[in-house]
Amino acid sequence: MPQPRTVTIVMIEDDEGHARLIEKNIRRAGVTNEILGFRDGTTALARLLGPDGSGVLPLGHAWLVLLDLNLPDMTGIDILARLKSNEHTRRSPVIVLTTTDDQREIQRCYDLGANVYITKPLNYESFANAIRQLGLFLSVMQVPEAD
Amino acid sequence: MSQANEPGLLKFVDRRFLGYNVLMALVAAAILLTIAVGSFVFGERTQEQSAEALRAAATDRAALAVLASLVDAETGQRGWLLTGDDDYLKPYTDARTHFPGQLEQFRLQVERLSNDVTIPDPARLEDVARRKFDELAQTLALARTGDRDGAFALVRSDVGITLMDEARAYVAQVLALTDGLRLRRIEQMRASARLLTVLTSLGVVTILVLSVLAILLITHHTRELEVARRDLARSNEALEHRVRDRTRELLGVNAEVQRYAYIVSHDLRAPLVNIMGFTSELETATSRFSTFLHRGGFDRTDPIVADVHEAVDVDIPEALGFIRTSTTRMDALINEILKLSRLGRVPLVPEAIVMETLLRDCIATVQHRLDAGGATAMVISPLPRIVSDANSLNQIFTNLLDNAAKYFDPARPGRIVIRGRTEGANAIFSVEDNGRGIAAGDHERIFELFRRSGAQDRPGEGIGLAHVRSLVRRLGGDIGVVSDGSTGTIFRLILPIDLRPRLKKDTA
Repeated sequence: MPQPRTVTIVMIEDDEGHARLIEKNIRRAGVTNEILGFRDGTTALARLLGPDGSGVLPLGHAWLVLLDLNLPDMTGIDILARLKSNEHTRRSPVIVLTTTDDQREIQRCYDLGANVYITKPLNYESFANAIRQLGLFLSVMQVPEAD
Repeated sequence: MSQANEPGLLKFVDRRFLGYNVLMALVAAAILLTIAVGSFVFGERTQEQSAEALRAAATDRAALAVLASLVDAETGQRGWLLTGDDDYLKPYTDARTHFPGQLEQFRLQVERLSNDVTIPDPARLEDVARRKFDELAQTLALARTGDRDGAFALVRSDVGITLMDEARAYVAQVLALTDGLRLRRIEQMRASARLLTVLTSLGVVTILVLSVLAILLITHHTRELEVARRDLARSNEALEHRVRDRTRELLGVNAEVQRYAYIVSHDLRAPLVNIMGFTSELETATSRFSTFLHRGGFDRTDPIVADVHEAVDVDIPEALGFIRTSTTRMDALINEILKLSRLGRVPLVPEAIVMETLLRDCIATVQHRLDAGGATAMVISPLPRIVSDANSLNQIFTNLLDNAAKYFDPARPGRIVIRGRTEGANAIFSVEDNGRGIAAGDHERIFELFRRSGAQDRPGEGIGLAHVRSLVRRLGGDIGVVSDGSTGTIFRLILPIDLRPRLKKDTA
């Protein structure tokens, strides 16, 4: 990764097991960036936009968001909309990583500004494989700083 | 309840109505017939009676003519006796000539008269007349011989007058009798005519009454029918409403079940991915540990070390193996539920379908399986043309063919026959095979998810037929199975000929 220590991967995933498996498989692809895991939308947004929700606090950070759509307190769509409508965070890449393959859901995510939409394969072998490929993809990806 | 009773009530009303009307028609017909027969009988009788009256009059005339002849003869005799002029004798000679004919006429009339009246024997009149003519002839003969005194003495002897009185008395008696007969007949005719008038009037009145009754009855019945019809229309409407409501409910439930199946399979998925993922991690970790153990340096005779070896090389891989097969199977099952739940989300595209072509494609799909078992599949043309969703039909028939091909009896060459016919608004297709059959107890079960019938010696999850039924029902049809459990199976599909009205109803 060109900016090895500056890009932080924010993983918003309520299933702890999935979070752990995703992290392990990304690491196996050689990604060494810091990974921040969040189990729900509220704490994740507090970290990304600051406690006041302004998006001013995290200036200077480069975020890459891995977002699950099924969360206990809000849907991933809400988080996506908040991030993409905030002028400080709108350029941060958001990768939607979820089990839903509903076409309308996918269209909606891209309409709201999602950068990549990945359906979690429901078979573990393909799941592990997909995450590893995502890791390889992340390692060559450019991420802008928030400004 | 009321609906179950209505047809019976209608039938009852109908029978009663019919009974009354037929009865009234019969009564009216009987009355008309009676009037006709009465008119005929009375007419005949009147004619007879008037003829009788006429005959009585004719008898009168004949009797009077006879008497007139006698008087004429006497007048001629007296004239000639007084004058001696032969011209005065002409009434006498004329009467003598005509008399036999007139007497014969009278006799004939008397004979033709009815037996009701006994006319004194005409022989009496003849006898009197003969004696009268004899007396007249005698006086004339005396006068011609010059014995005028003798002739006048004979006239004065009152013999002639007595005979004339006798004749007059006879004729008066006849006249009295025939008069009585005539009067009686006329009276009878009047009575007949009166009776006929009364009868006809009564008939007319009765028919009028019956007509009014019939009109009332028909009006009443029509009103009843109208009420029944309205009730029926209302209950039909209610029924239609109910069917519509039920259909909507059912579609709602169906959609709900599919959503439910989707959510369940989806949510079961997440923990399963974890189990599989971490089992994988465990396998990796165990193999690392195993490699470490096998690098050596451990005393295998030490029971603790042997135990660890046993655990790492046997127990843990065995446990992991079971976990893996179970999760793989669970994964497959959840996948199938997910697939079924997704079925309901694929839109149906109705189009005109040539079933022969579609079935040829389906057979081609399973041809390799048929060839492997030396089996054949054939389609009996013509098949009904239907408007439906080709994709669903393809899946339905491919599944049925695949199912048949899977369970042939090795004892005989496999044969599948597909037939079709139209029945009302539905097309009925049958897929018949000569395979090993399905036991009677399993005819419903086989359409349930994850259920299979017979020896479990073929691969399969028990998905195919559940899938087929789900598809068929979505197309607005149904499927059933007939089998004796040993010599073959017939799957029978009922599909609407046109899917479009159903789709419209669903969206309404």
